[in-house]
Amino acid sequence: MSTSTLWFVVILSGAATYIIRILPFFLFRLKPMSSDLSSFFEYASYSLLGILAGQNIIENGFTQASFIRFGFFLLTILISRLSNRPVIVFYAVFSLYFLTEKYFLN
Amino acid sequence: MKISSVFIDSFKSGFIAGLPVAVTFMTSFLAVGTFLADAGLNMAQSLVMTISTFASPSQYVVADAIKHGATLPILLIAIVTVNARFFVMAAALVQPFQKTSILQIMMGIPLLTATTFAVTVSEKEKTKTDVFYFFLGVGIIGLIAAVAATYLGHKLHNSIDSQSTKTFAMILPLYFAAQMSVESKDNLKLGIFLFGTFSALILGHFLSGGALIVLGAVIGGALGVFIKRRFA
Repeated sequence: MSTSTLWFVVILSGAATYIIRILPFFLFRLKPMSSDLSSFFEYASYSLLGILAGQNIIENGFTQASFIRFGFFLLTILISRLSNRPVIVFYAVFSLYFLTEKYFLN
Repeated sequence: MKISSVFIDSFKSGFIAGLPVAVTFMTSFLAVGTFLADAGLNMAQSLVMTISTFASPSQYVVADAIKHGATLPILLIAIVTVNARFFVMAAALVQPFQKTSILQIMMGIPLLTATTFAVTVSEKEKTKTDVFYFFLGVGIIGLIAAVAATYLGHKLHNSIDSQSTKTFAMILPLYFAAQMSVESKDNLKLGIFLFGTFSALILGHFLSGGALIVLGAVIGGALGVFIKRRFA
């Protein structure tokens, strides 16, 4: 692609993404959503975050590494839930995962 | 005076809460910079794309499409499909941002990503925090990291260690998990989050990324509403 086409693609990408991000505020701000629709979007967004997390865990299929990653994921939920200190738990579990990956998985 | 200190405190809290986000973005956008360089984008184009799009999955798709000579309509469809998740997330933020002016939202909304959203929703129940300024704090530290990493990735695109990128990719699920597990006392939200994770683990083999995102969001949203109405 030529430089000008690439610039066009860059601008198109930014503009399209911006419209998708701002559109709900114009659609639903003046005419508020029903409580069901509002709950739908809220739960849909939690489901999406779960999907994004799952996609990062599995990467290239069910390997030993992906099972270990899933174990650390569940461990994070469990300890965060019990301790109510999500940030500290995140740093602790990620450090443990980092060491496991470095010394046991490679 | 009191109001402005709430804004500043909220922004600061967001900035601090965004530090793990910044580390995640450093690694994911390092790879984005590499991808964009490989696809033939120069440094300025790569940086402008990160600032304006600020969504690594979408930028991967665009880079890949450019590499394979995709036409502009195909590129546009790919961008809209991959970024459709932002529509759902933005719709979920309409209520928490109700007190913020539309002009401020129009300026701040480019900072919306899955990660900045996840950190923000975990904060929205805290009454003393201004959710929008908290969101800005998270987003700005994230954007700074993303731009720096895109620059580095573009510059060093032949010498990035893919194993390190994979290891740091786990920051995202672990951070989401930590945030979601304490997000209010609502077990249903955590349940729907886990539903999404299991959907990706089980259906990820059979569905494309875009189809999984659309299906997972629709089913997850409907399931949440159904359970809430049935058992509320």
